[in-house]
Amino acid sequence: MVGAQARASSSLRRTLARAFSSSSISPFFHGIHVFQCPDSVGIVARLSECIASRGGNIHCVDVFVPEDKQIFYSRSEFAFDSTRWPRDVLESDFQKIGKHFNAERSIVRVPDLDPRYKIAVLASKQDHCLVDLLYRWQEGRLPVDINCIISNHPRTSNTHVIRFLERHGIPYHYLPTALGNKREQEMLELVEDTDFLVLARYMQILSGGFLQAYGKDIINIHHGLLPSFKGGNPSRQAFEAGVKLIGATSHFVTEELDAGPIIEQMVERVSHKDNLTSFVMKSENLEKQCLSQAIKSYCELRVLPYENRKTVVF
Amino acid sequence: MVGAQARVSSSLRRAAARAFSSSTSPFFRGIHVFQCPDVVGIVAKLSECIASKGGNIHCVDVFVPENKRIFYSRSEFSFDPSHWPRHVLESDFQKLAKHFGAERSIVRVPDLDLRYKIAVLASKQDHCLVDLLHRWQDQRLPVDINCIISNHPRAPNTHVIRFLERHGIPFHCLPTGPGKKREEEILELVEDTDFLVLARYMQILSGGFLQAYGKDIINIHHGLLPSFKGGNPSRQAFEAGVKLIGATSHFVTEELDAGPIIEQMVERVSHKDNLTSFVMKSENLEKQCLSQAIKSYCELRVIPYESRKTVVF
Repeated sequence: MVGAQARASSSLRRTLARAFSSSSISPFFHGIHVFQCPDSVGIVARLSECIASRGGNIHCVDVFVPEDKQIFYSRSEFAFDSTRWPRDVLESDFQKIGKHFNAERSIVRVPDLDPRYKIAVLASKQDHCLVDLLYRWQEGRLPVDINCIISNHPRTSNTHVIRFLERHGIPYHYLPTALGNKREQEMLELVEDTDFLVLARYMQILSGGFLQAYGKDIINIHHGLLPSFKGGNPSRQAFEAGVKLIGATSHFVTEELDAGPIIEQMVERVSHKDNLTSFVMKSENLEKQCLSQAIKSYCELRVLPYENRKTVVF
Repeated sequence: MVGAQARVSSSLRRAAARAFSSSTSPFFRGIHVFQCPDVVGIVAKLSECIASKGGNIHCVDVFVPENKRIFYSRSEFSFDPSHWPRHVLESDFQKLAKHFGAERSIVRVPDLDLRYKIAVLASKQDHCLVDLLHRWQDQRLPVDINCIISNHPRAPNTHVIRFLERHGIPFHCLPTGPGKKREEEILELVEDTDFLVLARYMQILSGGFLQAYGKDIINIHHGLLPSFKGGNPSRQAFEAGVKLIGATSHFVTEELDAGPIIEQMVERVSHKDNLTSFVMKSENLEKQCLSQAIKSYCELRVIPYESRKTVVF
């Protein structure tokens, strides 16, 4: 089975698996609620009362109100009995609270019941981030459905990536780009049914038009510690600058190149013992970790845009 | 006692203390740094030299880059000066240096040789200066401080001024202005130093000064170079929404904030940080990063490498 069929039955299978798990026929599901509204007294009380009144048990709460702005951000995790608090009632209960507090953002998600996030991954010639993502996905550590891979670089049928994708029924679209032909129209069609995009070392710059037309989040990995070494070949730039630390940055894509809100950054030490090859190797290592960490945080609803260039990451 | 007298007697006292220490060990610790064109047999020759004089090698770092035939090494060894007197040590290594056409051959015996003499330049920000002075007082900074030079005044009842007076270290206030860097006066004041430390000194030293002084100058930049060069990197970082901030210590060259990097350190920041905590974390890093750089430098661990880099053993 491929595509939509696979996804629908996968969702059903997961629900059934949960409902009939051998250890304990537990009707308890794990819910996440993210909230952003103008700050006032009583929000936490109201949210927690709502959850408690439905028999929900809160496991984890992160609340953040910046010093200088009256904006309230929270993320709560709770366990609830879906027989007592059905999914659709959960949704409407939080919607009511959202309305009451005039919330800019109120998202509730039940990972084991809701459809997985659908993504498309864009890549160019460099394999390492793509392969790492696919491997984590196969291991069940990346809770998404991969609609397709899009690349401006061809891959022959006997490559590891292509064989992997064929085994899993994930389409691979080769869209070579050229000056004046970014293939963005075709891409937009291919990614229409996705929840967000991942640029896994995709080396083309997406136009403002594309970003606006797609309208949803796009996560990119930059192989450098932004804002250092923007643009091309940051490993070589770092190597020649004689830095003692190199890094990777995952961030949201905006019109300005390598300047969108940063989600995660990681570093590693380098020294005179490193040559350009080991710089690149350490960098690739960091990129894989940093990108997958960003996607994980994003899927767990931990990442909230904050002011115009930053993120809250709970 | 102040100044030169204090230094000489301090050196004497240290040597005496070593010689008459409770374990009555005649062994002194030596450090040798070597840089020459690479050939077969350098390590053999260096180690044979040390062994032949009864020296015991504790630590060796050798580095030859992949793409250049240049040999760098740093050795630490203990030796008995009655078997291997200091001046013989010096000439033995000089012979080797000549033999290998060495660009750099430096031997140092911390407990016998004179301490490095430094001057520290600071501006309004105190934290790096104060941290340096405290470490120096705790004997964790093996230097003699000739003087402090600042373009920002400090009143006599301030912690820094009282500290300096207690220890007999002169404080020179040289206010700067447009077209008035006071560099001539600074050069005179630092003539007798081995290297300079810029502890958040906010004036840019001219190429003329650097050439006239001729010796190494270590600076602390409150950002992770090459990010956020120039002014107020904490604010720049805060507004850029980065998740990591850092500090960089480096040698000063004509180009601002671009000299060979010696050490870099980072710390995580998040949405929970405001500009104040950014600055606090940054100041913390600057203190650690600067003192680590000075320590490495004094231990002869830092060797310039190619045009913009360093080997740090």
